[in-house]
Amino acid sequence: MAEEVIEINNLHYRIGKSKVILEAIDASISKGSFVALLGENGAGKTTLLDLLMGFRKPTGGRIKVMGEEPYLDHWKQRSVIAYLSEKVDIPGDWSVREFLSFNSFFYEDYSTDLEHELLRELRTEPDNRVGNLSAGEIRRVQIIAALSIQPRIAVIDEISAVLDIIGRRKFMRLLHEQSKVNGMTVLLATNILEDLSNYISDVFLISRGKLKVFKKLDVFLSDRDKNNFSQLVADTLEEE
Amino acid sequence: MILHFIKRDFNTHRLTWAIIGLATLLGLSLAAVFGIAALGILLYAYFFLGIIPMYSLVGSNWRTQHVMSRNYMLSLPLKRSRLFLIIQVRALVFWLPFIVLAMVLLPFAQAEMERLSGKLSVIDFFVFLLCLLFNVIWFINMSIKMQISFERITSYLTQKQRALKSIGSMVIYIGGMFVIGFSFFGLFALGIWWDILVLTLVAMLSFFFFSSARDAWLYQQ
Repeated sequence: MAEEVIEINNLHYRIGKSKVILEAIDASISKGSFVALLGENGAGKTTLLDLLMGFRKPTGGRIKVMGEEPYLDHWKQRSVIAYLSEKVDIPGDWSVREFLSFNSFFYEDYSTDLEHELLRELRTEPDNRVGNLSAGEIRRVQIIAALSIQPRIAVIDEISAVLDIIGRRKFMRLLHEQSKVNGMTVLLATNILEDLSNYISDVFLISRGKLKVFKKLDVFLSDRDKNNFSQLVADTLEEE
Repeated sequence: MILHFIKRDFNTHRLTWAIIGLATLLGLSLAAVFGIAALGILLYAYFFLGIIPMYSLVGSNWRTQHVMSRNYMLSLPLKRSRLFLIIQVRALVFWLPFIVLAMVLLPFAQAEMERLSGKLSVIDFFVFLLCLLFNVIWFINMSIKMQISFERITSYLTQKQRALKSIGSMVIYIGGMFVIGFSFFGLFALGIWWDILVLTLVAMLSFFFFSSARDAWLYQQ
C-alpha cells in the first residue's frame, strides 16, 4: 500500500464569517506523486498550499502532512519540504551565492554538490546580484535553493509563469526526475497547462473552493475519452 | 542562529549604518563646541535608524520588492515562535543607539528636569529606563502589526471595510503615540503614583502589541 504523505479530510477554510475559500476538500496524496493543482483564478489553490505549509489554520476539518498538522508548527518537518512561491522573495543586494549560503545554513541535508549541478543546469551565475536579475532568473535561484535541500515534498505555487520556455521545461523535468527517482511528492499549483500532462501523475481540480476532480491522470483522461489535456481541464471547470 | 540573521542585516543596511556613523561624528563635534545638549539632535537620527529597517525585517506582502519575505521565513525549519523572537532581536539592534544615547543623556538632563519637577529619585530613573525599553518594544511591534494590517486591508476587504479598517488602524497608531507622549510628559513631574501608572500603561501596551503582532505575523488570514 502506498505511503500517504498528505491527508486532507473535510477541509474548510473561510475568512471572517461569510467568505468561504475552501469547502469540504477530501484527498490523500501518496509518496512520489506529482500532483497538478488546477483551477480558475481565486479557486483557492494558494490558500490550500498555505494551509499545507501551516501559514493558515483550517477553520474546519483537518490537513496532515507526513502525519502532522502543519499549523501546529512541527518545524523540523519543514527541513524536508521545499516551498516555492511568488511570495518568496530574496534581498536584492545579496549575490546568488550569498543567498544560497544563507539558506543552506538551515538545512542538515543540504547538498552543495547538487547546488553546483543545478547552478550549471539552470545556467545561473552565482556572483550575480539578485537585484539585477529578471523575475525568471530569481525563480531559478529559488528552484536551486529549494531542490538542494533534497526535499521529500515540494509545495509549488505558480512560479513557472515567469520562467522562459527552456527554464520551464528544465524545471518540470527536474521535478519529474526527483519524483520518479527519489520519491519526492510534488504539489504544483499552476495555470500553465502546456506539456503538463507529460510530467504529472495526478490531477487535482478545484472550482470556487470545492474539489471537482482528484484522479490519476490516465483515469481522468480515459473518463472523458479526450486527449487534449488543456481542453479537458477547461471543459471540466466549466461544467456546473 | 540570531547572529546568522544579524550579520545579513548588517550587510543589507551597511549604508544606513555608515550614515549613522557620520551623524554620530557630527553630533560629537557639535557637542565638543556647544556642549552635551547638542547630542540631543542625534536622538532624532537614532530614532529613524530604529524605524527605517522595519520593512526589511517584517517581510510582509505589503512591502518593497527584494526583501526577505515573511513566506520565506515561515517556510524555514525554525520554530516559528523563536523566529518571531529573532525578528524582535534583529529590530532591537537598530534601536540600540537610541536606547544607549537616551541613557547617556539622562544624567545630563537631570538638572533641567529637577528644576521643573523637584528632586529626582533613583526610582524615577529606573522607571524612565523601563519605560524606554517597553516603549521601544511597543514601537517595534506596532510597526509589525501595522504592516500586516495593511497587507490584509489591501487584500480581502470591500472598499467600505477597507476605509473603516484603515481609519481604525490609524486611530490606534496615533492614539497610542498620543497616550505615550502625554504619559512621558507627566513622568517625573507628577510624583511616584503617576510614574507607576505610566510604567504600567507602557508595559501593557507593549505586551498587547507584542502578542497581537506575533499572532498576525505567524498566521495569515
